[in-house]
Amino acid sequence: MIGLVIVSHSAKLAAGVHELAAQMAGGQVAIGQAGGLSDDGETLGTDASRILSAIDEVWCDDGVLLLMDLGSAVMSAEMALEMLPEHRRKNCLLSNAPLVEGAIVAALHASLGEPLQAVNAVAEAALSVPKLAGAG
Amino acid sequence: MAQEITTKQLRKWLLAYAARIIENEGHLTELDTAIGDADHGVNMRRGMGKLQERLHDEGQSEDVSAFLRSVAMTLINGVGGAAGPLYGTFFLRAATSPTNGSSIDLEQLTQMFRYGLDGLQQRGKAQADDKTMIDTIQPAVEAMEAALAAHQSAAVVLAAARQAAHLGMKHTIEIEARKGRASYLGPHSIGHQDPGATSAYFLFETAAEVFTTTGAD
Amino acid sequence: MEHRSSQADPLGGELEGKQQNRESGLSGNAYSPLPDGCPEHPEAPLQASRSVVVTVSDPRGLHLRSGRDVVRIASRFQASITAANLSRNTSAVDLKSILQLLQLQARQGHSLHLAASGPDADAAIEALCSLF
Repeated sequence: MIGLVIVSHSAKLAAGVHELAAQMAGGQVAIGQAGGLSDDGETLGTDASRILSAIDEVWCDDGVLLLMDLGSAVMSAEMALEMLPEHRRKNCLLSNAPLVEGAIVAALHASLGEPLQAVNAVAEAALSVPKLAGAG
Repeated sequence: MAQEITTKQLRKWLLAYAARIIENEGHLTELDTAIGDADHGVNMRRGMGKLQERLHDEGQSEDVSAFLRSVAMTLINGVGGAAGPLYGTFFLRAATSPTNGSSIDLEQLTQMFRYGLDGLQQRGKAQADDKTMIDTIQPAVEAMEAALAAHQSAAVVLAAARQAAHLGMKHTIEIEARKGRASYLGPHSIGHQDPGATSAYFLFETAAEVFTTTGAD
Repeated sequence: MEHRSSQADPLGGELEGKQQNRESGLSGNAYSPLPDGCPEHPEAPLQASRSVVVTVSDPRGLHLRSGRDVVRIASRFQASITAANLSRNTSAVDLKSILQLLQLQARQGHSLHLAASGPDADAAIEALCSLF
């Protein structure tokens, strides 16, 4: 079963998304979080080394999917992957999914035992699912 | 080229850099308020505070690569914003350039900057004229390479880098941002100097000051 | 809990049913009322598709966590499974997608039309019925 890492500029946002995702996963998926700058939970920002530790915490050979909020979170996540040893890097994936929807979907599908690429595909599909589906 | 730059001198350079950034926090904030989210000064000051603590730590490795890597990690942890991963990448890549162990020569210093620049371009996916720190660093590295190829002295190579970096920084006033938050402003970003290009300029300004005075013997 | 079922509704019938809903404001008119409980199914139908109308009984409606359970169950089957909220006249969404399922905005008392098609369509519908 794959692991997930929630990356956000805000430690509180990461914790909140983690809470939602954990409920969807029903305790079956390892979900890590890397929110804010490492030295101070109150400072907004993303930190590659913190992301790296989160990957380590949830590591599983089935792979790890990273979900980021926006902007430099992507750069920091890319950096974290670069810092990983080769054999781990190729089993990590940065998702293009929106953070909240993506985490919910990914947690649920990860808990169904789906492989990394499949979980990312459904999470990224969230980009095209409107919240407000009008009546038919 | 006999002159070697030791890890101790690299440390002195980065302490000078940290001090210069802290002196210019207000200026960086002002620049970033015009075209960004006004956090570059604060972020850089915070990171430089961390860097000063780290550089004053006793018992650090004298190995150039290890030193640069620890600088990178400090910036990654300490700066935040987009600048954290960008400066972090710059030094992380610089740390993979060739050294003589506990020192580098002028050619290796140039290579170090080149490695850092290549890493930055990969990370930020920015090109010259996107109005970013690349506009300072790329001409500076090219100027160093050209001066080195012409067998110039360390003082000349470093002065060329500073001069090119300065021109590159000033050039960002004239161009439209194509990367980062400033790019949302489109043509309205013209007329404002890029804060990242400015903080990057100080790398070369302080390198010229520190390596020219402490290195020439 | 209430289930009404119709076997292998042809698409045209479904559309017609929806139109009726729109006009009459009633849900489930197009479907023959059946007793409560999951539908009986005939022996080995060639056309492996099945549909049923269920009523949401949870006072909180179909929310994130109950939706999760629906997706979990639906995902066990090969059949493609869709749901439409007849009470809100939505189009059919993929029941294996939590986000699409949430689009149904299903509240307590809403009638949902579940349709499965595939080799295990019967079993899928039966399993899903128990969740509403």
